[in-house]
Amino acid sequence: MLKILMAEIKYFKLPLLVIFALPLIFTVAALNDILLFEQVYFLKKYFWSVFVGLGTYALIIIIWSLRKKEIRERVHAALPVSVGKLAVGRWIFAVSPFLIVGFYVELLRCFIPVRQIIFIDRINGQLGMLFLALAAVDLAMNSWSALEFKRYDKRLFFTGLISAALLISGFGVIYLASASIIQPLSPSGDENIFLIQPQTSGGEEILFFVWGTVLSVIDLFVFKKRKSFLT
Amino acid sequence: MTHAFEIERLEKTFSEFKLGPIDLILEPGTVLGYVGPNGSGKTTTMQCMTGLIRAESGTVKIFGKENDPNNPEWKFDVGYAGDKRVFYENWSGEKNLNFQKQFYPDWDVQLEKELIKRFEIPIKKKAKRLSSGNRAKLSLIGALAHRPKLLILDEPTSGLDPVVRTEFLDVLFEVIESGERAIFYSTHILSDISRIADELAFLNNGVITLKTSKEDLTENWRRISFKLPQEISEFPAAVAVEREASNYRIISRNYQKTIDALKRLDAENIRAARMSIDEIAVQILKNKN
Repeated sequence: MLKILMAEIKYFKLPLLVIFALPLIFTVAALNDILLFEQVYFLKKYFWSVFVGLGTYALIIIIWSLRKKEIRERVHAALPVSVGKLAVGRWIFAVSPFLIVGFYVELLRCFIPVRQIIFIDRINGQLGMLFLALAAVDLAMNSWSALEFKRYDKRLFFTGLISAALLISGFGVIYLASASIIQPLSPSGDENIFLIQPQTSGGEEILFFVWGTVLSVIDLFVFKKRKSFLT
Repeated sequence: MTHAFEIERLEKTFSEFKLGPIDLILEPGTVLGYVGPNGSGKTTTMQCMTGLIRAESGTVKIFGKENDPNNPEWKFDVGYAGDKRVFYENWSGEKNLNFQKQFYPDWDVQLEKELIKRFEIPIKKKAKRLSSGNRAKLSLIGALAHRPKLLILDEPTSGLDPVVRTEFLDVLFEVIESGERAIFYSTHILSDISRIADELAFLNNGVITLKTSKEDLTENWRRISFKLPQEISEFPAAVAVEREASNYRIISRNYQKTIDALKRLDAENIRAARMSIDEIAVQILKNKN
């Protein structure tokens, strides 16, 4: 398991490095009031959410599309490693960037004065939602392989049912986490660029991470039950 | 004696195709050619064996150990080169082999180096930049270097030009000669099979229609021509019959039996010619039973 995990980390070292370096760079920048943060309100406002939030997600999407393109599960399934270990290695690789960045952002919120890191609270809302979405999509895909019935329509039905349940539960979590999620960010409406963006402040976005982690753990067990490792 | 592998009542159903039930045994030190048209189930059988897909029912034992995905010890005895050659594409061939090496305690670095040299692979090149021939060779090195007791090769020469294919088969020959290794080799390139296989299993529409030794085929199958005034459409052991006036040409799967019958019918000018494995295989696949 560790060998596979290390290989994945080495293979994707550049995007992973960027994922972990971005929050650090912006923390240093914020603490020093450099990078025009103080002078340019726009930069101060959107750098965190665009670079750290969406940037992290974009890089994770790149990593997972590449894994899919190179049929990584097939490479690993041929090795003398138990499917349980494969599933755990895959799970750690999938969730750790989200959880590490999320945890780091929460730490910042606790220890750094708000003036330097305004709007940082949005990042975990974004990251959490995206983590939840990715876990749900992966669970649906693995269920497709695990629920291999002789009848195609039965398989389609059950996978559809699982996907629908995931979507509904995901939206439920989002609703619980922030009632203002689809409200413009300011009453004037001139800043509604990121409409689907929770502006939570009381730490409700942790729910996204919790629910995303729950789904990813279910996904871990479903992965072990896959009937095929060809895709 | 432990079989190299033993497949019992293996079944796998897809929406438009069903494999099996398959029963197949391979003894150590033997090369079994798995022959069948595209879509007959060769790849599915091998993928079930190697754990890439799970069968619905049946068992696969490799050197006596069941191919349990949760207890992968049996994989140490298996070298597999699949129909799709998958790698870490942005890593060089060398790095890909180094990755694989970590999982096999018996990995033979000397053999790996020899094969790289022998195949003349640009090993420092990224996998994605390798030609399909070099990818096939890299895949074979990965399958051979841990000195497995069973090699499972799924159409390893498909898509290769004749020169590369010959090199590839030459290396396989050396592997076969060097020991007790069993090889399960699927292909629809019949000339490959006639070079290396000891036994042949023919698969059609997911079912094994015949399993026999290569000698058995070459000794028993004949193309027979003769003259017979009367019109007869069926002869004992004949799989194909052609007639032009009183001249017949038939293909027999047991020429002795056919010739005895022809003698009883007072056929004249009986001539029997040996057939190549390729010709025989085509006839078997055409007849489907």
